[in-house]
Amino acid sequence: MNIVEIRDLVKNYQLDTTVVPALRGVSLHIEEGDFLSIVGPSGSGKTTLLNIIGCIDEATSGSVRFGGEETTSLSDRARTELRLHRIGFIFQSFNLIPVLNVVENVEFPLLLQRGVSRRMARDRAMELVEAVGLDEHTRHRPGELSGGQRQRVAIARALATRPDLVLADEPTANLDSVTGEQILNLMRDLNHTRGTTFIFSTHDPQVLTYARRVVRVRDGLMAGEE
Amino acid sequence: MRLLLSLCGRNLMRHRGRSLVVGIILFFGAMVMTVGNGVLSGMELGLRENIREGFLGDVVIASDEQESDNVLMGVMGKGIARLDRADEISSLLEGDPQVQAFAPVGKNMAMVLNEEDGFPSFAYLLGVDWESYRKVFPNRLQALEGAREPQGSSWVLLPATARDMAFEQMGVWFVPKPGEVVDSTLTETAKERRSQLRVRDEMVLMGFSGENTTSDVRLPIQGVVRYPALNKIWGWFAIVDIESYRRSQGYLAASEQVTLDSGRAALMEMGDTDLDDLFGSKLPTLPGAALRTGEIDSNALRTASAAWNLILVRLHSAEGADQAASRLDSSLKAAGLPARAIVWNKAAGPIGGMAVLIKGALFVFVALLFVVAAIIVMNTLSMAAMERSAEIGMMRAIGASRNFIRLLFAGETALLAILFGGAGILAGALAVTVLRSMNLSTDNDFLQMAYGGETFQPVLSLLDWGLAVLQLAGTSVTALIYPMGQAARITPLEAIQRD
Ligand SMILES: Nc1ncnc2c1ncn2[C@@H]1O[C@H](COP(=O)(O)OP(=O)(O)OP(=O)(O)O)[C@@H](O)[C@H]1O
Ligand SMILES: [Mg+2]
Repeated sequence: MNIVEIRDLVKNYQLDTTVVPALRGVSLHIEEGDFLSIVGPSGSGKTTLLNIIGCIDEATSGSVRFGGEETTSLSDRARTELRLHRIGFIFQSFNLIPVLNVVENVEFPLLLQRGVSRRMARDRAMELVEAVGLDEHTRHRPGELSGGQRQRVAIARALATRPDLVLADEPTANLDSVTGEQILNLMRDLNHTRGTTFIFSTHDPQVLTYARRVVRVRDGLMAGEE
Repeated sequence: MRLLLSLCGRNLMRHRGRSLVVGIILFFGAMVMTVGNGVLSGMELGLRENIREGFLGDVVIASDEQESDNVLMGVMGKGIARLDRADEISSLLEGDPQVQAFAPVGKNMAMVLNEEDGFPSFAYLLGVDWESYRKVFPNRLQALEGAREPQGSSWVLLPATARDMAFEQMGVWFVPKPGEVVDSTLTETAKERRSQLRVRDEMVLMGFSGENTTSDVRLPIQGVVRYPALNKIWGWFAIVDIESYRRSQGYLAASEQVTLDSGRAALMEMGDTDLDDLFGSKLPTLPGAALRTGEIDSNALRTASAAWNLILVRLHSAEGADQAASRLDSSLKAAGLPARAIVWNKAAGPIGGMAVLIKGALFVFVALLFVVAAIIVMNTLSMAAMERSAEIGMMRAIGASRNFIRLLFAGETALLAILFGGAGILAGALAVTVLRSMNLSTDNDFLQMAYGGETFQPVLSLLDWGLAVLQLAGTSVTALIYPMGQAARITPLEAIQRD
């Protein structure tokens, strides 16, 4: 079953008077449980594609279906709800709320959801913090963690709400190669054990060794798949 | 909710510098506004006390022909309408549960004739029945020289202010009988001319009302007096016994009343007869040959106990003078009496106006402060929203609603307002208490007006506390609206574009 179906997706950015085409007709199907990597040179449209899938940005034209539901026509409120309940995000940097400690950051999206008790949220957060190997650091604030540790927290938080899909835009870009590898391995493990669909973008040429499926983009167009 | 609160609190701690800036502004803003409220309240209370207990009472009854509410100091030369049927009004007041005491008075201008050669001066006269007057205004007058309590049937109590003015204009220095000069009370100019000072212990007053029947009366000065405050206003009024007042104004005095009583009775008997008949051809033949027919005009009717101008009413409680005035007004109307009731601050005319002016100036100052504080706070918050756009965008991306962001911002500001603003209000209250205990006093007339009396007695009523809280909340909300909207408009995209 396809969790995401993209058809003829076009995204133009308006820069003053000139139109910058970021995506020029992308069609892509992503299966549930997939571990998919989007690769391509800088400026090819990777971030734009992830943002539109994640309901963070709006498409200029084309169709994006998420779990069978067309998301391009949703209101801001509906898209916020979708992000809160069904999508997890891992960003390249500035992932965490600086004033909250590790476990608080992880439970944050759960507390935004109505109907989740503090107890339940805390238990779930602790479980995930353990799963990403940070049980020693539950009370630390983001400022007291290394880059890799922060990305682990981000992964734990992205999974807290049991989303259908986790999006990660260059999650390893700010990390050294060893740590980056660990992070990708962790994501891969979680994909295996929990069955959550992961889509991430990367510049890493070694990506083929981790990803189950690699999609190449170039100049806002699909340029092949491995 | 707990999440929001802890987020707010920790964010404030994280951005300590900025929190402190906003906090300090809110602190001082709240403090100054609170002090301002206290000063305004003190002024109002002081003025009320000085007017109420010093001169006008709580409610003033005037003739319904008296057009202006301002009975204290009308346009020059324009007297106050005569109050008819004072007896009936008095019995109405006596039966009123809210009325504590009342004093009918005559109030008009008079010339002060110069018995040396030189210019005359003028004075406002307040003709009183001493017994009722002291009941309404007990212990208010202070004797500077001579007696505070007048004796006998004809007398004048001269305030120092009126004496100084008379001296300026006439070069005559008035003193109480038997004519002894107290050096310490002399004005500078009087001191210079001490050796050839023209001293008088009697005043010759002549009505100034433009009536052809005014006459001059010679009165012994029994005391030179002053008020605790606002002498520049009350001090214009020479207090004289009512009989002398009536004579000076050309109202026939009680001693001449006997002959008129029958005539008056006859006139009264006419009852509903058209008033025009009085002056028309059907002029009734009145009994009592002593009556000078030529004087059966409006003047003649001013005789007897009816010849008053105002009744000054003191209520049991100063609160609710407004309602009491309008209730008394209705009662007067209902009883068909030709009078109306005016609440003290309206009756005080120009003083009320001055008070409003000072109040307005203070209010403008506070409003300006409000705007400045709000703008600075708004700016700081707006900068905070911009600086934190990545963080806010990230929160939006992972599912925080616009409302959550709004609440976060509002919560942070509210916390600052409660902590710092609250402290500011308390500091303001403390400042008011300290200022009050300092008992600052002044002889300056303008300052006395601002103080509402001779000493500066700011005070915070329960209402002022409420007002301070409202002002603080108003400032915070005003400062918050724009930055809050700005923060709520931050899109999740802004979290990413930073990268
Ligand atoms: N907000 C924006 N306004 C204008 N143009 C934009 C905006 N965001 C992206 N673009 C343009 O759209 C194109 C695609 O950008 P995008 O960020 O998706 O590329 P990318 O593949 O993620 O690049 P990188 O590997 O450097 O992150 C680029 O030409 C970029 O300049
Ligand atoms: Mg990118």
